Amino acid sequence: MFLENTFETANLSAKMSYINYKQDKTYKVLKPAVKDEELTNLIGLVATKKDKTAFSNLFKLVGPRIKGYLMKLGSNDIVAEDLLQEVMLTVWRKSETFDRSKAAVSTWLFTIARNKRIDMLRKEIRPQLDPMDPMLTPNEEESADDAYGSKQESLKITDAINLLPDEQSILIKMTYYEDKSHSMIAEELKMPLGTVKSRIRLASTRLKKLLEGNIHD
Amino acid sequence: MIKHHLHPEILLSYAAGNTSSSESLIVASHITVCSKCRREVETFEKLGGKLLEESDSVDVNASSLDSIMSKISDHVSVDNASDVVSTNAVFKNIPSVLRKYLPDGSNLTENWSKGIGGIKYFDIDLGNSNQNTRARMLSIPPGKKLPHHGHESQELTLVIQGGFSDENGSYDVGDVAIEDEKNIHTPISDSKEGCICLVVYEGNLKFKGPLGPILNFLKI
Repeated sequence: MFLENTFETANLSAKMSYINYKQDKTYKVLKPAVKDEELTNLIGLVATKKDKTAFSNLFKLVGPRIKGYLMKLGSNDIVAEDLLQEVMLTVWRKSETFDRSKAAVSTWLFTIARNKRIDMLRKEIRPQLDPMDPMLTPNEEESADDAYGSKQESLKITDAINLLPDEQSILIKMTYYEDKSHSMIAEELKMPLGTVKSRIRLASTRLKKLLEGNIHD
Repeated sequence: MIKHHLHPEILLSYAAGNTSSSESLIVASHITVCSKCRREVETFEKLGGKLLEESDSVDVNASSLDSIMSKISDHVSVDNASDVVSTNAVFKNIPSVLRKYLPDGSNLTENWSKGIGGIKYFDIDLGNSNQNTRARMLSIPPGKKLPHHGHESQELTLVIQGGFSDENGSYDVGDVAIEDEKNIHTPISDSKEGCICLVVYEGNLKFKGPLGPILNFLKI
């Protein structure tokens, strides 16, 4: 009886948070969908014409959110401002490497912010994939299903995280938002490292399937 | 064709930005030649982009924009210098992310340290970090059988040239072998080409004698 109740309550709160999340989402999804096009155009102007007005507009549009993201990951106001400047400087310098057919603006900005943050925190350059490496193997052909899937992706990503069981979604959030390594997560949640790894493996495999529009199997 | 891939949890950590430098090095090297894992990383980066997009906005100090506008006026095009890597032909089969950490020479292993049994190694310097994972290049002569050994923690091995096989299968260029505490194996290097690989392992060096590097690698 007690167990049943606990389960009911947990289930109810999960449902509630899903409903809250869904209401929240209508507002958030519509806005960036329009914005991505606008941001892509601004980056295009920076890349082709070194257009400073476009750059300044881009800064005003994305700056506050990048700063918010950096602060969410634990940077204080001063560090976040410094990092934001580094990120935007990289945007200016590398704008021609942005390939709209490969990635959304938000993804590109995320990778720049991630790298700048690590370089600053660790005072060293993070080893990362060189997109111009002649050794790079070509991408596999996307199947028609996958191509459809990637168009749907902007709607699916947040869904995917929230569709994971709580014990898994918390680990994903700790990975992205709290910048915790597997061993730090294990310590904080007082879980064996092996359990953390296997749960993250389950979560990331499931996420991957959800994001690739392939929930079956 | 790559047969042995990295686990999704390390690809996720790499995308989120919290792998150690040596783990980042092996992931970046593997995804250079493995489009399947690269695509997974891209998917997890999209997730990061989405989370960035949904972060709360925080007001930006007005002076930041002024400061950055004056910086971009100062130098219009710079910043290619850091991307210059050696064009030495001996590195042509090495992913460029890895190449920049290796010593120059007339052949790949010329300036590596010598271990026992013709094995050579080179410890990669990833900066002043005090992270607990390390990266080492290893060159094993053809047809060499390494002693039966276990591992005290996780160890990732990426084949760069040649290959090796053990009880779990055969590993060719681009394949990653993942060993952990539970695995005990007897690897044998490729009979013609031997094996050059990048090994990333956890923990500190334990042996400091003349055989130290090999003992440390084998964790015996």
